[in-house]
Amino acid sequence: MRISKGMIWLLAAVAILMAAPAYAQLTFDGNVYTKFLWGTDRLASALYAFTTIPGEGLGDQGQGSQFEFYIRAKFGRKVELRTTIQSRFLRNFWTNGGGFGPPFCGGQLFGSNSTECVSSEWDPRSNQYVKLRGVQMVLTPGYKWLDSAVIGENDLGQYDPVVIGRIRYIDRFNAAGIQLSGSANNRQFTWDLIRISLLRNLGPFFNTGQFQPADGTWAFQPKLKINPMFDVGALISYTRDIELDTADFDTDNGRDIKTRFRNTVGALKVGIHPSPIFDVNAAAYFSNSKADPVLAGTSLSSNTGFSPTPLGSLSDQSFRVNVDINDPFQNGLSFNVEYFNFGKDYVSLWAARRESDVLLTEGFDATFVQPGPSNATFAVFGGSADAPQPGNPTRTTIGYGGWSGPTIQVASLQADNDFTDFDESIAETVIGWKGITVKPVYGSGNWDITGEYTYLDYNTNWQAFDDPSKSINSTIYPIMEGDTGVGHNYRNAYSIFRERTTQFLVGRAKYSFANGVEMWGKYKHIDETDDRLNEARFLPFQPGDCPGGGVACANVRNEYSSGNSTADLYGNPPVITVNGVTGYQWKPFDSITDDNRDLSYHMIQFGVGKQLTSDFNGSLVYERYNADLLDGNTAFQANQLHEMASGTHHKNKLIVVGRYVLPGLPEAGFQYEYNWGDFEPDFGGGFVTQFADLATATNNRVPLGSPGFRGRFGGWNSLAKRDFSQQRLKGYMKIIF
Amino acid sequence: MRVIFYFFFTLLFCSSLFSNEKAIFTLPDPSGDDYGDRTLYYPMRDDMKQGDLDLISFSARPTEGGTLFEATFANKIRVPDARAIDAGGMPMNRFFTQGFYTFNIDIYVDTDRVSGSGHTETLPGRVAKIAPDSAWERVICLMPRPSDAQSMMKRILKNRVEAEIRSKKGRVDPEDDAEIDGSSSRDLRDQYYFPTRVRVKGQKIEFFVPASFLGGTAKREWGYVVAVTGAVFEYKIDLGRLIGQGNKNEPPLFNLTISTGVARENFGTRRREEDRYQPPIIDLIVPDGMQQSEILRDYDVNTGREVQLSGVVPGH
Repeated sequence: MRISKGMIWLLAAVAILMAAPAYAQLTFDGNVYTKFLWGTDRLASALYAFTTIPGEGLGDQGQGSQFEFYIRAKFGRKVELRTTIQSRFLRNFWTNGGGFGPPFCGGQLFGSNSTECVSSEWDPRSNQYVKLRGVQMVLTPGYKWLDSAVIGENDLGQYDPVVIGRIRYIDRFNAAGIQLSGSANNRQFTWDLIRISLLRNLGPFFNTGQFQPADGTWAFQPKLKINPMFDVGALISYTRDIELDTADFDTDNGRDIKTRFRNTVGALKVGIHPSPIFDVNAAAYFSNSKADPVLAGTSLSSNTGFSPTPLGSLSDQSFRVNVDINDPFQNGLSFNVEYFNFGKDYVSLWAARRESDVLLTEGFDATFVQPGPSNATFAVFGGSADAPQPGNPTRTTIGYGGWSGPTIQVASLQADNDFTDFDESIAETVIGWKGITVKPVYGSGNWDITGEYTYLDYNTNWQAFDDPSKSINSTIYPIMEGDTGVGHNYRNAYSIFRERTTQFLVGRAKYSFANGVEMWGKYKHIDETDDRLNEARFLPFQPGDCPGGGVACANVRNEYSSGNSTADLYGNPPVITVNGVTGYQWKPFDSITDDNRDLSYHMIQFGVGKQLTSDFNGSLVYERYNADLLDGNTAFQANQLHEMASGTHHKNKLIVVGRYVLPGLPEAGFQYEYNWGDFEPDFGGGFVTQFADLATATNNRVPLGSPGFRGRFGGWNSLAKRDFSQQRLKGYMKIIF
Repeated sequence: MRVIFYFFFTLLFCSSLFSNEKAIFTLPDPSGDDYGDRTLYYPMRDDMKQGDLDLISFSARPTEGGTLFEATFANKIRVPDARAIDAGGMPMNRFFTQGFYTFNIDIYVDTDRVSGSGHTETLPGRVAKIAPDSAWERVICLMPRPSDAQSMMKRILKNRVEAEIRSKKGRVDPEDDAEIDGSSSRDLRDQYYFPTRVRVKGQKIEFFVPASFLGGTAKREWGYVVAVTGAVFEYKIDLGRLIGQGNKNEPPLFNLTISTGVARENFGTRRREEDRYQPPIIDLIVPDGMQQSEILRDYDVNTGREVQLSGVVPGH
């Protein structure tokens, strides 16, 4: 264990307290969390099942422990100091033996993705180091105008997750700033003023440039409770990411600065509570964002660009209205209704990335999240050097089973599910979503029944990024992993072409027996269509450009505006001959139906659970998913970067959960999953089937000689039926003190 | 869209044709008195604000097999959300499965209405006594984690029986285990009930208590002490106790305690020092003519006198 800044803080706190007045208090608490992972994907470079960060590692194997220690020093009634020091089990496997490893990591000291680095004592992610995670000073001076001042770490939970919300999950308090809070009129009026230091990943392309220590956000939040039935609130924030002005050559008078990115967000909220039966909450949000074209860039790839914000200068609004009608007739039937509309250009860098559910709908399911049938991304390119486990790499991350349950919704393009395990739910972005949710809830006697109907339309329904005068080769909008697969990608909000509507229909029922046994069931249906490219003028080539019959395409481009054509994206196939059959390598994109999406999705769930003893609770759940998906044919190729998912999906999940709690003593639990199913591809016709050679079979892990086709970038899509099975187990034990 | 509205109003209309039984009693409580003895602050947390623990009415109505109690708060009840509560990413809504997590409600029921008959102690950590003329026979403990609370209460009861045996004969023999276990299990079953059939509806929470526990449906003639406390997230091992230091009292049964000034983990108090006899009860239904704040500050640290809570008899 290395002595770190955390230890120094601890010693300092103890020393201060020893010299403090007698009424000062020093409190220690914390927890030890031990995790046990096992799975048949055999990924073993971290003790979490998922990350998107290259080289960070992920896995479904191993044992490790994490230690958190909180120190609270109270200097009388008005001053409190809090610090957190923590080790993390990112790569701290028990097999490290405390951090032993080779002295060099592929020639580099830290951070290399070389497999030699894993478990190295030189890698801070695997040497069990203890680190200062946050310092917070809380002042409660007792002034009339100031209730508290919080200096340092702040989880930002007291704001609005659509504007400023919880950003980080593992450490929770990574954001830091200075916050003043006050009140008047017996707290009928409250206010918060905060200056937050801008995290260096909260900017275009997930960075804030080179000059980052002075970047920050100012926010002010007043709230007024006019009477018990009516309250109003507002929140305005201003973020500025600055850089040094490289054109300022005169440093004798200091150095000038320029703004790389700015983001202004405002919110107005009203709550009307006429009685315990009726409750209405409405909120309107306005945002303006501006990225400097020189400092922040002007464009992203139209296939896959990664950024937490669009580029350019944008303004937009978002709205939410919630109406709750609680048991109006005293018979157990209640209703929740929500209207929502999130603008396509709405940007708030500090909006919650996870852990805050901003919509009533349960949205898509977390078991289908990544583009490929097995939840793989970029898998058409086979193994990759940045794949996250030692040994011959694959594109497997979270694995076939995905995550658990439905998703939660966040109003952020940077929905964050990194460092999660399969037993968690995940966040998906709702940027661009608009629609309505109606949710009846009935509870009477031993029955609890809920339903949901959601109609979802999209502000991102457009053609050619809503500006046909421009080329589609680049865009200001981040596409992330793209918009393909059974359940889309959790952080994708944009596509080049979209004409999508979605409907969710959910019914749940639970029956509680007198002996404590609970049984429940659920049915969920998702109906979704997306015409994507739906005007012939956007087709890449002139009609009849590829005549078929083994004749090569003429490649006469079809321009949708002067000089612009989708031919740059949807290039024509070459003519190939395989086993005597001559034809196109993939289907030419010659119809507006070639990229159509049509999803019919059914899910059923049955579960039974019981508090088996006073200390042990167990449950058994079975889930079945059937998805018939048309997600474009070989002309579309799933944005050309991912495995195609058109076809029939059957997925089964058998889940066993146990939790053992002895209050005052350790708590332990586990979740075991057996996931199995199949995928029968249906990619349409119009192309010549190829067969995997040895290199293709090895690299893409498909049977030698199995059918498939190569796409525009050379990626391999298998046409063979795939059978999946995956087992995984997460166990834990925690002691809180 | 039209289909949605037709569906919605049809359900609304149909539901209006059926309604539940009438209330056995309804006990109102003043709005805005969620301050305990007028010195308590809410914890400095974003998910616990003034009004959240402000009980404004408490009622009971008969239902098949027992009684359905309903508590109404001034604010909409906060439901567990998707926040991760531990290093393993456990979402709060899977941890707190009852649909609430910020408060406990204790209901001490005096069914015989005989002064001095029954128990006068409150649940551990409430730092209060029940007045002898309201001594209870049954207590209903509405808590976010009923199984864990029940399990912990059993441990406390076992410790009490064990202490009693030790005080009588100066030791506890292995042969006493059966009596310790039997007696504590019996007390827990007969006197304590932790509702698990709980529903949250906006500002209201309703919970079912079987007739087998109360000996029938609730009655207007019984006495009820209804007290609201803040609920803790997770139970912590008391390191001080482990090393023989710190508070010797029984550990609080999943309720927030009090710290001086403004605190994040506990209620704060405007008092200059922490008084060990100040109850962490933030709201209380009191009999007519009595003031909540006066009741909750009627303690004496010099003599060790704890506050006494009197029951309300709806039928009076």
